[in-house]
Amino acid sequence: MTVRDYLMMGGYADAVWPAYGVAVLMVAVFAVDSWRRLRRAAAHLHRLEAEGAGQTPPHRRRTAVARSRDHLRSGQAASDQRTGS
Amino acid sequence: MHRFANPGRFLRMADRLQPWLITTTILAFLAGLYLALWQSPADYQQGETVRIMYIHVPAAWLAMFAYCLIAVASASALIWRHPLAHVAAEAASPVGAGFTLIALVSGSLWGRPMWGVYWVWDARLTSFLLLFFLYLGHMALIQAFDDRQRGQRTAAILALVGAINLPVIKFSVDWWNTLHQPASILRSGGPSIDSSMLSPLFSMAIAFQLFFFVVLLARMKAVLLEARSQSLLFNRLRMQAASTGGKRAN
Repeated sequence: MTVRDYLMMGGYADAVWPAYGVAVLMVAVFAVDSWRRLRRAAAHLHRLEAEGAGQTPPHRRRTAVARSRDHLRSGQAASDQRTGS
Repeated sequence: MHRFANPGRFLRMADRLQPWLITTTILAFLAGLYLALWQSPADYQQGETVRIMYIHVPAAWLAMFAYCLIAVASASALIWRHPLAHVAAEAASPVGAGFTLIALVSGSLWGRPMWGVYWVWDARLTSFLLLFFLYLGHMALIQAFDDRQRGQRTAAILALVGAINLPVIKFSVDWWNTLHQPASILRSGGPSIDSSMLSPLFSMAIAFQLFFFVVLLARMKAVLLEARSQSLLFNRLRMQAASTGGKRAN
């Protein structure tokens, strides 16, 4: 079987490939959108915290994700202490 | 479940799980696509269009699974006020809508050569279209109120009421005469599909399911961080208002 035969999909290329195309597109959109939203949310939170503490926000976004995570963790540690758990 | 009710603990767990989940998802997609597009044979009646089933059916399963998850999360948010439940429902909704759309579009593309039409208003197709609108309604309601919690609660009620559509989708092919074929996997007497076609189907179903969890975790993390930002901003505005109010009083 040649590549051309394969791509023809037995005469159903116009049904098979668009169906896979839609699925791949949707998966790609959700992967990219979720990642971008997470980075934006992390960067925004860190900027707010930096403003509050009078610090300069970092330029590297990866550290922003890590720092906001640390913030939530330390918030949790504080609430654990309060509740005595 | 209450062990993970705490946002901090949930984020720690999500961070540990995420790299493993992403790697497994990529491997599952590669295996699934290889089996679906290369290894599996053409059907004796449907020809090569049978390959559409390997994305149509897993997408439809996932669309229903995501709605189940939203309904359970909504119930636990309304009844037990589980702190992560609204977050999970909000994060799952757009992904569920996306996979419903994949199922609808891929089904249509298969229907044109096999049935001669892209769409018929039979019970399975119509109830599945309703699922898509329920997802859109759920997403819209969350954003519809200035008070975010009010939006989440209203959306949760819609999700619970809409859950009645899930058994309707599942049994529509048995209850009514539909053009859509009846169940061939989850049926009494076992699957009626050959194993050479079952393996790509299950591989893609696992890949879709894993992908859903990867995206769900990322979106839940984002929603938690956004909520934290909002409360920081709110507290800051309240403090500013208090200090200007105090100055005026002086």
